[in-house]
Amino acid sequence: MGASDGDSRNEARGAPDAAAADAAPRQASDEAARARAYLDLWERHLVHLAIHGRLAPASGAARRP
Amino acid sequence: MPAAPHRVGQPSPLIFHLGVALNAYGQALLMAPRADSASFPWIDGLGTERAGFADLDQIEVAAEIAARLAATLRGIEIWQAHPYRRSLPDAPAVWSDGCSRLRDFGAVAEATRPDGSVVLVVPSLINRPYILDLVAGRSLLRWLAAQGLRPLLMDWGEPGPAEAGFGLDDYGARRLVPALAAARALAGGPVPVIGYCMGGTLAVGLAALLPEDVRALVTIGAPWDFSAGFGIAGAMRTLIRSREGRRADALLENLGAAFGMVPVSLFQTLFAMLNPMQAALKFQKLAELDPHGAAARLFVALEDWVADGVPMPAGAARDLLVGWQVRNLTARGSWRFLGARVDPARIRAPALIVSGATDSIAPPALVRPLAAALPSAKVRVARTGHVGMIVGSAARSAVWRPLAEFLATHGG
Repeated sequence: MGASDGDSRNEARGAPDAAAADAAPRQASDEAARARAYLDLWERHLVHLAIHGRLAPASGAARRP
Repeated sequence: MPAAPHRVGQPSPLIFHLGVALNAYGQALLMAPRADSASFPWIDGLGTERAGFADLDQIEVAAEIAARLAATLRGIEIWQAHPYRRSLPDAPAVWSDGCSRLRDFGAVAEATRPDGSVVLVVPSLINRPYILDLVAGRSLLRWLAAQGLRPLLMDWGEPGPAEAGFGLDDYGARRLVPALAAARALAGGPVPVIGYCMGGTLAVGLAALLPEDVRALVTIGAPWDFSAGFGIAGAMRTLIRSREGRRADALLENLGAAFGMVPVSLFQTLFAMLNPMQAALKFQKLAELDPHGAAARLFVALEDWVADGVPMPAGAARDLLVGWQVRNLTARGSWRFLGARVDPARIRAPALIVSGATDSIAPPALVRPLAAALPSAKVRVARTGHVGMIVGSAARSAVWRPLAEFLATHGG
């Protein structure tokens, strides 16, 4: 959900100017919350991979001739 | 913000911690526009949340990344400038040899029975043993002493010229066996042995080869079978195994020749690699805490301990990193200790094997096979990590009390 999408929706609904002005910070806040949620998940992803991920062949499979 | 003059150590290796964080968050920023894509490589279980990340605003992601990096640096500064300084006095020694001491926690102020049942406690060689006696209220050894036991802590000490040529077998024969004899003399008979981390693995060797001297065995976060290939640690072991550990062996030998010992920084780098983002994330948490509060104080105490490692003789490092970790001599039944092959099946003493469910240093896959190899072992899985089993908020209920109950039943 980009910023321009939200603006368009307000215009389509014929929202008054004051309501649109209120919506802008709320939308920015939503976007910031989504950015935080994405980074939280990214961090969990990296930690899980580091500890539990299968990052190499099973023992001995990487042995060279 | 200048570092407090008494500060012990620093985040090491700092360039690694900061570089990893920059790189990881940079990847997150670059990949943000595709976070909701089916081809985004989320690990299993996390991908279900991808739909919520359609059309992320990269400016917001960048701003949040900047805030997290700033919090990481702020957390490091808070630690470095914190006034905390460990003040618990060392317990007096009842035996010593070279740099090693056997410290008597029956003689600390918290002890309720100075002549209580003797328990030998064997910590890791990599870090100093005061993780078991970190701060008042989070000291496993003082708590055991308050329960009426008499813990005797094997304080390995910082190796000097006398220990420069030591391998693990030397530490066993010349330090651990005499310390066990001293403990046995004080007790008037065999004693329970508790081992933490690699100290637990050494305790297995001790109990297998001197079964008449060990009344009960407890290991906490003690790795045994290194064949598991999970995570970065498993990947590193597999890659090093592909050359049968010869290069790692030579590297450790050369480090020992160049520096006299294998430097602390090598172990700190290896630990950092196990979970590269851990440092950035934990310092972000510190930045959120009240710097004057108890949680921040405990955090600083723990970080001081993490940074306060000891160098290791090259022979011992080779035994640990190549013999155990790479060649898996322990689980393969080929580990020789005190002049004989260590066979856990010889241990007749009752055993309690404690494993941390989120332990990244000795994960359950490395710990549980020991229980299977012992004739009589109970397994306890604590919902915490490697250090959390000793000093975490859940340690008392998840580890300390079950440990005391086990000792009360089996020889404490």
